[in-house]
Amino acid sequence: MYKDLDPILHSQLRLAVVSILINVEKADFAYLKEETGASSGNLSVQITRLKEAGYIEVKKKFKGNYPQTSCRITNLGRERFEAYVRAISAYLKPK
Amino acid sequence: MEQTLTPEESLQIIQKSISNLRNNMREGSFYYLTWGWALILASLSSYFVIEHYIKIEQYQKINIMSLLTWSIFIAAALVVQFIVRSRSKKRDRVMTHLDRYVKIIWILAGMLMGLMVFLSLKVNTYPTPFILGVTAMATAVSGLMCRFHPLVFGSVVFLIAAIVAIYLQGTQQLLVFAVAMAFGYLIPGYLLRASKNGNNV
Repeated sequence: MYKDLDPILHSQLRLAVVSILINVEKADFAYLKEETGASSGNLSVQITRLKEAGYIEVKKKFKGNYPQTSCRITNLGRERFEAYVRAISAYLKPK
Repeated sequence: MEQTLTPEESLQIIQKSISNLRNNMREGSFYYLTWGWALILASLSSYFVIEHYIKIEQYQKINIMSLLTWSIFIAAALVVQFIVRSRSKKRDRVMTHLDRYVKIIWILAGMLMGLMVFLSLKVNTYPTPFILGVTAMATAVSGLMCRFHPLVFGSVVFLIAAIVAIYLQGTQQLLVFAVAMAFGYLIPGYLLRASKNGNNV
């Protein structure tokens, strides 16, 4: 079922993360956690998958003594998201 | 879970993520208020300093004292901005496209203002009308991009003030500058701050 939908994006949390990042320049881990309501562990795993797929860019830095993870969408991520939206639109259109 | 996601559910996730995004432009009220007050105090202080030294006929001190008053208030605003920004937890958490463009516009406007001061001093004239012109442009673009009408109104005041200032003498230009800042920065700044408890801007 829905075989042509990008498996990287066709997941609740990864899709939520990419939907947020497509609308902003960058967002940090804490913001994504708050907006998605996900647990740190799950979010961390999904962010790693998106990063490995090349959909997002992740930068880690220290602010004071605290690590800060900043995420930004890549051009590939943007293209794949647009393709995904087109694909689900096709399913949703009345035939 | 991944297998059971339907296109309808996907669409809901996307819609929810987008609708949660709030424009954090209201935080900009801090900048308009800080710089509004700093520049009003700087221009009024400069006005009184110049008038004072003209009265006691110590003309050689006018430039240096005027420069000093501007430097003190601009430095104070920069220090306040630095302290507040470094303490702000929200900063660096998320940056919208709009945040980025507004930031770029004001950095460029600041550089242009510096250039205007330099060029005006070179040709031996007051920089006030040129500074007001650049401020009008940056305020208009910020207001139009954020769809916040008081800022657009403020930019018109800056533009009118720039034209009026050209026809006035140096010290009178400073008074026009202070009035323009009150309309262009303070009023939109307080309206933005008031909107914090109301609907999103």
